Amino acid sequence: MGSGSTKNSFFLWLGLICLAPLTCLFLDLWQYPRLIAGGLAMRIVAANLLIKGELPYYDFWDWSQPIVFELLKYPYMLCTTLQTMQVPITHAVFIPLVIFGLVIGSAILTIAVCSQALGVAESDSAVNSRDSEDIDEPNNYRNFVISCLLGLVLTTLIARFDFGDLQYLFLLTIVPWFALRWFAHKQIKVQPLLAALVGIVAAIGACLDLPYIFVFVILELILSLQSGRWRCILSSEWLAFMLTIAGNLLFLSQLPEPVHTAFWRWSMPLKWLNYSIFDSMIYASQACPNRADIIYGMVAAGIVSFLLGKKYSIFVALPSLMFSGFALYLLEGQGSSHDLILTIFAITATFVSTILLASEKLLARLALNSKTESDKKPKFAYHSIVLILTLVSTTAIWQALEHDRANLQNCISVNCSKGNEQLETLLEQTSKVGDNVTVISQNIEPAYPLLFLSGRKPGGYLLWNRPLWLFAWLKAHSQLTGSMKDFYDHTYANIRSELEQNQTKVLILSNPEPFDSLEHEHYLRAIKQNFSELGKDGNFFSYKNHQPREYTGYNFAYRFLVRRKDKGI
Amino acid sequence: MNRISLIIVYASFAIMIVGKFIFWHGHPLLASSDQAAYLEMAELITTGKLPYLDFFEWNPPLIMYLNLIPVWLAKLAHIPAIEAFNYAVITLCAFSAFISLHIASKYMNKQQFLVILPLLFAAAFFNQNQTINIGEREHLFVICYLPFFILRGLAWQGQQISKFDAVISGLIAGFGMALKPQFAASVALVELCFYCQFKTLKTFVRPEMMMVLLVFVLYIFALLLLPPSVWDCYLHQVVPLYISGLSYSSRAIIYMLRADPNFYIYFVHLLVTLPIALVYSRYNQWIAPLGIFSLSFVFHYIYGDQAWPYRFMPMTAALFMLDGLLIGMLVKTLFKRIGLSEMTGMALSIALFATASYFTYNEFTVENNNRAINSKPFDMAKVGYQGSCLGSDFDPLVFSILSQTKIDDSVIFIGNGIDPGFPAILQSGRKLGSRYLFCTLPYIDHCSRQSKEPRWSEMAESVINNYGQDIMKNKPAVIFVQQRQMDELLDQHHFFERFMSNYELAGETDLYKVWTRTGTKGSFSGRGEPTQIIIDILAKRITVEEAALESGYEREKIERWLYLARQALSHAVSKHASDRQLEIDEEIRKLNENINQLKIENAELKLKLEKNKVN
Repeated sequence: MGSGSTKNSFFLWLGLICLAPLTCLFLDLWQYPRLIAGGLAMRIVAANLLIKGELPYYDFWDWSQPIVFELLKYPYMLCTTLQTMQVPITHAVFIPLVIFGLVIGSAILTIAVCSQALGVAESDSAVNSRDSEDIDEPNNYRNFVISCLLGLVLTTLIARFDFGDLQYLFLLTIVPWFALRWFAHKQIKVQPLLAALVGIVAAIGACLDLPYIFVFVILELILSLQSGRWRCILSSEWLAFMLTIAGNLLFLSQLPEPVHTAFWRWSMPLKWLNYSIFDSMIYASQACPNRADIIYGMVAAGIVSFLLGKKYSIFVALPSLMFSGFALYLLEGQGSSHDLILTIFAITATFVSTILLASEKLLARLALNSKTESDKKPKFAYHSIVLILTLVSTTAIWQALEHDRANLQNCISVNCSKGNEQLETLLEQTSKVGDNVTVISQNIEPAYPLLFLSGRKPGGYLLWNRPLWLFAWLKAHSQLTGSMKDFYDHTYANIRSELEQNQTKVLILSNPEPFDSLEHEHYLRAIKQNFSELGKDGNFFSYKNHQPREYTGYNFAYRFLVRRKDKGI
Repeated sequence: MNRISLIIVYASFAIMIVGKFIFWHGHPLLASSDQAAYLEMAELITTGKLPYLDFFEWNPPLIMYLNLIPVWLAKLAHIPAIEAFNYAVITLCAFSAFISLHIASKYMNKQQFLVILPLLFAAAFFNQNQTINIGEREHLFVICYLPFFILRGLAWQGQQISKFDAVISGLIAGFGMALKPQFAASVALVELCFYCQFKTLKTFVRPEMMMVLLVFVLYIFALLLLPPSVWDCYLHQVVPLYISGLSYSSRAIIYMLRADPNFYIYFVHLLVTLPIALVYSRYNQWIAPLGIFSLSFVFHYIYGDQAWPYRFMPMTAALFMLDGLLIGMLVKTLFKRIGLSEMTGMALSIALFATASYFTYNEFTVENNNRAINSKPFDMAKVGYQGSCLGSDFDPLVFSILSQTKIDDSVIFIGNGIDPGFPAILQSGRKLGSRYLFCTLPYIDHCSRQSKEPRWSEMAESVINNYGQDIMKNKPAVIFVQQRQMDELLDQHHFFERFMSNYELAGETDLYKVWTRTGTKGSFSGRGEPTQIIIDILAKRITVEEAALESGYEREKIERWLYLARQALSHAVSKHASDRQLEIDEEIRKLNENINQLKIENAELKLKLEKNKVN
């Protein structure tokens, strides 16, 4: 790598290069603030409810881990404070900005880990030559660092439409950890404090969702199998990681009643059930987003890894993340793009690494042919290639995002010109800011980010209605017993009160309704008594189920029902 | 590996193969839809029919012509084509396994052979343990490719390989690769991987490669020999419909990956094996090609856009081989660590022998249990063969066909997929009454919905007319029409009014409607009347067993009547037939009419009885 100043300039240069995709991401967020992931929007709403003193899982329901609500609570409160200080900023703008800050934080943390690791590697190689496994270690380290960083920043841009979703946040936490552990298995250790910080951040990422912890286990297993250094696990980052996980478990075990029961006995078993069964509505080709492109990318990255994995260990480590990400996608079983973010990162980093390696070889060959003495020219050329690669990929991704947006806009325009109404339009016509609106649909979208951005309050207990579908499954399989029956009763009692009392002003019903067969008639009757049909259906227009608007199952028009005046507010 | 160990290894392979032959002997009519359809196409080719023109199909024709082998074998041995097909595939599996073993043991050093042995065993195990997908094109490809893969790996290592071995391996692999174009692409990727590891261009020019090329050249040449009308039909009807219409049956990606265990277990296998294989790829040059091979079939499967699990079968085969290879490496390392390297061969061979014995024994146990549960075996005389088999081997449609038809009758199933028309029609031993093994109307309808080009409506009308012609020409005894979409599509074209006036609705299930031919409905009607029974038996409308079962007469008694009737007929025909031919013909015609009338009444009574039972 060269001297310390060379190393610093390398990282400075790398940081500058990363600015291109990050700037694009920032501009995109600025330009299209309403384009935030449905999951993020819903969790922000949940954080708001938490601040208002409502009990998660019991008073409002989403099966995200408590840490997710807790983490979102603070930026929400901060934004509210800023608002009271007359700062003109909304939660819909502020929280994405905070997450953008996390993206930069993740990149900085990765740079810090890599910078220290390269420094240690440099000083170590100066003292004693390590038993080298890779043929050209300093260059490989450099390639690894660039691949990780570029992979990270490019993925944050590629996954722009899933900005702030759980796997997006998970990616931000795992990349510094990945770099740290990769170097650790090369016997390159960073300062314990930094390592512990990375460990804590990674553990927070692992706590965001149930299966994420297994990604860390798989990654460590593969790195250990590759290096044969099992003792590497005895490290400050792993200690910090385990302690944070233990802290989270302790927190979860000490949840007050009735949240404890609602979390441990209702929500988590239901989530596991969701992993184990497949949604029968996902059948036809457009019943879920067609992300064949990512699977092709995975195949190509896998092939490259098999070709190059013998010589370069990065091609063994990255596929473990890629396949873990794909396992998450299979586990979730919804086919959504936001379940593939980790896979996208691994694919991107693999391709970056391959291009760097190829350009390095090419430059070495050219240098050999020209018999140049100085190494400045190849270095400059290499840096130029990285710069061009970054700029080209950033432009291509930017264009692709624009293209997707334009396609959606076109689709909306065409449909609206045919007289079809959008959900947004009907919502504006039938309710005002602050009204309670209930959307009964199996998926988070289209209820979110629509309700969040339009300033409507969720009218019901369930922030989204997957449990209704799962209850129907449980009932059909005679498994609706014990605590699940309690959850079922609690849920339907809440729905009944929403329908019969005056909370919900507008009811938006998906087609087909997810009520199970026994409850179906009863609830439709209750709806009929308290609500009147608007006479128009609202559409969640999506261009061929592509991002930015994805759905699973059917995407029929939504029924709009407005509370009868004699029964209403 | 010493001689005794090698013999044990061969014996373990032999146990598996013999076990499989016994298994398939017990299931002479067990087949899945695609395989049955290709056997039917081969049958049609033996009658002089031409692919695409005389019967519809949209895959390349090699598989149809390869299926001529079991069809001929079946005719020679007078066994069902399905049974001959299954035997042929197991024989091919055995050949592939033994030749791979032979090549590996002949050209590899002891250490390398020990590592590769579990791979070969895993491949043989995988190939022979296919029940639903036995003989699918992907399965045949894997079987054919195995010896070639081993041989090529050795060739890349610089081994001197005999021309004979090279030619045999190349020849078989060539046929496997030619089954679908993407197979050759996967093999090319494997070769590229070997090249990246060994970097010698000369290995590309070897006898086995020449043989593969030769097979392709001959195949293309043979294709060119097909009549221009076939090409015209293929290029102007089949290909456009395939390109535009196949998306009709495409499925959501996540459905293709994890709808049920038939899908996700294999992808979980992929996600477990490949990362580990990647870690160890630097220790063994066979790992990377196998990993790439398996990944290439993930691509083919997703690109194909259909939720047909057989399409990722080579991926699973490669994963099995990778598992075997990793186990081989592990065993070798373990024995080396504990200082028992010399014992590795013996231990491995005994382990393989024990595994093969265990699985074979286990299968027999399951088989026996199945037979114990199935109290009444199915008499294959009903479908024109001797012996018996398990009723559970049949598609349920078979029983409906058998109850509505006689042995020489033809049947049409108008449905959007090959299943359940096939294997049912083949299993029931009835003839196909149409040029369509499955109906293309939904695909055409899908195309016409996407683009309003008039050619699709013309094509739909042509399909309707073809069906009409086939019905008029073949007079199928029964026509099954798939419910809902198919029924509606046919109705849109007034198909029932135009071509089915001679048919009446005889019943319906949730899946299909049953239309039987008016006036010719065949079912045994000779209750208690010996003359009628014998006439029916002589006319091959019924077997002796069936007559005994339905009339209540003893089998021996019927056989005695049959004997006497044959004697009398022989006597009568030899003396006077030429004089009274017209009279006899008229008498037979009248008798047949009577029989048919009685059969119709009988079938109607049966149907009423069944409806009453249901109610």
